[in-house]
Amino acid sequence: MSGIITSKNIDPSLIHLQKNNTKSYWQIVWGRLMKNKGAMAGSFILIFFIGAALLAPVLAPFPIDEMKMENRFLPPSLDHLLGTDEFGRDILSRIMHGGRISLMMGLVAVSIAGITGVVLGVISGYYRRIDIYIMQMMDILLAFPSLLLAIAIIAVLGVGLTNAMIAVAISVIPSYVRVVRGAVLSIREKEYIEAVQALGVSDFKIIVKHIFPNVLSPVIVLSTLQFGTSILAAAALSFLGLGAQPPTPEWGAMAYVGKSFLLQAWWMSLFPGLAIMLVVLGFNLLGDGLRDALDPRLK
Amino acid sequence: MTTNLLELLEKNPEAVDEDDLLVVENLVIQFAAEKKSHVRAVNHVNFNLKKRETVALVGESGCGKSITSLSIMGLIPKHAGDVLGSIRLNNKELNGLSPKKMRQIRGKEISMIFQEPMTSLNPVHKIGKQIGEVIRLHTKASKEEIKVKTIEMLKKVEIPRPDKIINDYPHQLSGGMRQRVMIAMAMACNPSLLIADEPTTALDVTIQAQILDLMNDLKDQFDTTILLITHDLGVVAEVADRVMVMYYGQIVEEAEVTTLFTQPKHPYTLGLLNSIPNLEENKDRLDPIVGNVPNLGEITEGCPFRFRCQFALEKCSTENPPLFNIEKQKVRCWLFEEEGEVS
Amino acid sequence: MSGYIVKRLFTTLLTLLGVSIIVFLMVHLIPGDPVTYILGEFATEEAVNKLKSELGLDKNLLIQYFVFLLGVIQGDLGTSYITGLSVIEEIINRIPVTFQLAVFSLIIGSIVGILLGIIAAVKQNTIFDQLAMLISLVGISAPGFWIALFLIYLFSYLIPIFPISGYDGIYSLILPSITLGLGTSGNIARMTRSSMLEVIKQDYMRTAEAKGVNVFQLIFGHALQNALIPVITLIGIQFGNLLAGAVVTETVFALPGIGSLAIDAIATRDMPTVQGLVLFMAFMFIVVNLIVDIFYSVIDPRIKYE
Repeated sequence: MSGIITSKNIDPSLIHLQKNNTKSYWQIVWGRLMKNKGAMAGSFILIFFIGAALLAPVLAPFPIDEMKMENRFLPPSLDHLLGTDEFGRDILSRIMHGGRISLMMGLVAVSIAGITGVVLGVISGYYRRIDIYIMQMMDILLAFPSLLLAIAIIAVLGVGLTNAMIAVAISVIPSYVRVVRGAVLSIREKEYIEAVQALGVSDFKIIVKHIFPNVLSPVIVLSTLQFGTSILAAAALSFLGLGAQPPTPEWGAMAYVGKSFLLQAWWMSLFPGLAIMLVVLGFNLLGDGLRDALDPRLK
Repeated sequence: MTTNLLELLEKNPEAVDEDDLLVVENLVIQFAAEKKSHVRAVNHVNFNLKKRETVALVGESGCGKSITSLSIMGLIPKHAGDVLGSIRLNNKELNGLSPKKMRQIRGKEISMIFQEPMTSLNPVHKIGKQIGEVIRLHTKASKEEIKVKTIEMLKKVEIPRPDKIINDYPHQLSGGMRQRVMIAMAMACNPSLLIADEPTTALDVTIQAQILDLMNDLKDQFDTTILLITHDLGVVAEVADRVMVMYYGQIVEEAEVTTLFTQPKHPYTLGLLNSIPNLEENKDRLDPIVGNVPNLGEITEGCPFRFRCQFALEKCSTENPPLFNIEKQKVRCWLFEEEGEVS
Repeated sequence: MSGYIVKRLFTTLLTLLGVSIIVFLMVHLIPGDPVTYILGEFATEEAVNKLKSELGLDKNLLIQYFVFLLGVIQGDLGTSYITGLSVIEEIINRIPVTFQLAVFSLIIGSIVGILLGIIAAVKQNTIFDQLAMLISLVGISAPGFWIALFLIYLFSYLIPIFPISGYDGIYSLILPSITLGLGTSGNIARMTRSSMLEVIKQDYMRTAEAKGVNVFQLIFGHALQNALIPVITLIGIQFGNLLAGAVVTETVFALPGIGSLAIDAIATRDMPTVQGLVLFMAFMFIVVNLIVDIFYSVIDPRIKYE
């Protein structure tokens, strides 16, 4: 870009084009996504688990805290499809209810991290003066392996479900900041942004109307993938006894209890773990599919 | 088949021209397209290259010239496209050779240099290793012999301080130097045919002339035949003996280089010649040919050039012209139906 | 080159300084003060004050930080509230297990991951590709503890060839290393695949083919070294995840490494140990990434450090 853009040189259609393109663009993306086998498989897994979690109070065959000592350590059978635990509670019912907690942990962590990360990332990419400080801070956070950072945060905040969510959220923030900042930087260089700046449009409006829509697709992809990662991290924390505490039927916590009875009742730990794996796999498949659909060049 | 050929040779030695190095007959290259149909990138191409000859294959991008050269190298993967017809080097059929046999020919009997010297060398290997590899693959030379040969080749392509350069990486060399390395690599096993695909297009004008001179010198030293693929008629005028003009997968004109430049016949050739900037005439603008090369599979009948041709006849839209021979010149155009005879 | 290293060392130092501040604040942000914790709620005021001055807690925060930093530089990470042992000694006692575990898993993860990635790239869009990618995605998605429990059940109980838990030489590290390695291999496989696909398209691959190179040499001689360049960075980052993953794996297999030390320390609210461990692991992570960056210049001659 050389020379100064005056308002005369701006083709107003250029700015409106953005909007029109967006609509057909999302239609194209939707079409590509529907054709992606992985993404469809991922969606199917997720719909299955989300449905099971939402309908748990109705569909679960047993109450989660119904203890029957005579039913202790029952292996998978027609009565108890996934077996029972050390108090005779039905594992399947507990996994269905636990899905609400595990999915909620992922949702809360991704929401906190996503909002914070997008705000910081946009500021960092748009206001170059503040950029260096934010990025330095992120570099320091990135110096901690993410699960370690979460563990350290729990060491400070104390053990528990809420603190585990916060800890996971904080450890995810840097990846959002990096992705969003990168996207903002590349859009900032585009001519039409310079053009609207020259028109005297306020920064806030530019960010909301022009920058944010372009940041949206990488954030969608990242959030999908981080949803899985966050569930995985939260479950690991619970498994270490740092997150949700038994008898909460959170999947990581269930596996934590089941670990002690592995040899006599493998189903107690392996089924909750399998549930985590499938849900995370679902998010990863969908995330990969979304990425390919949003940017086929990356495939 | 072979015995027949031998018998034929004994009875009639003229049947196979001793001077022919490469004979391409009825070459068809087709790629699978939608709905199980095929598109032909190369459509019944015939030509031969005589020993020690430099022949240029000229045309706009997309005309099939690069595909033709890749098929001679056997570098069109089976799953990508079908190569039909005959490609014979020194009377040996190449089309249909096993991948292993073809590997023994590539780099040894037929070599190739490419358009982009900046990206055609492996960035993580030293120059010496890259040239040495081709010698190692095709000869039984010892490590020491390979090194000596490598340095000798670098000297031949006029690279200064070759004993130092062999330890350099590609990024340490300029574009012209890299193309010299590519030439050294291509010539290392003394191939009988060198295919040069736009060898100078990516280079500065001054370097272009140097590289072309070098190729001419080496051709004489090594008795090599060169098939030069280019869209640049300036380059053609400088080095080629004979020219074949290609359009939409067909050869549309073939002539000695002076004939082509003085008496071009095909309207397409005329167009190409008119689009060369000419300092003497001092024209205000160049005359590029109107329109673009049509997409493959777009034209099913008639002369594929008729849409861009100012002389198009009615016949052109229904029948594709055959090649007409006019003395030593060949042209695929109905305008010469009277003058020439079908070859 | 040396200029680059100096610059890189400088930024690394800055990051380390930032890390030390965060880790220092970690302890001072914690609710409940360590003196009460050590002496109990019914200690006399005199005893409290005495301990406070012993621990330097009566000074202002900045001075406390510099005292802490000075200690760290001299290799003093403080003393455990619980055992009374010096934290650095505890770490040194426990690091061999974790270090071996990390190295073995990295080797397993890299070999499995790179091979899967190569197969997927070379056989792109075939069933091999899809299978390799599904395996790596499962590796990424499976919780480490789940793989661990699964392997224990399989190879220590059903087919008892490995010990269930505890540390008794390298033999005890095989299952833990496979656990961690499998998780690591997924990311490496995906990166190797996409990097290989990118490299296969390059002009120099066509040059190599034109030379008469066979498929094996084409992949291993010409493509792989180029394709591994981005993979190496990933392996560096994975090392950090391995350290963190070791926390889970060591807990499951009851290995006496620094990971299980960290969990014990959190359980007993032994803050100096937690602090020391977090600092130590972050330090290791930073140093490994520094080494990876410098190692880059060896594998990729194009990088000129100026």
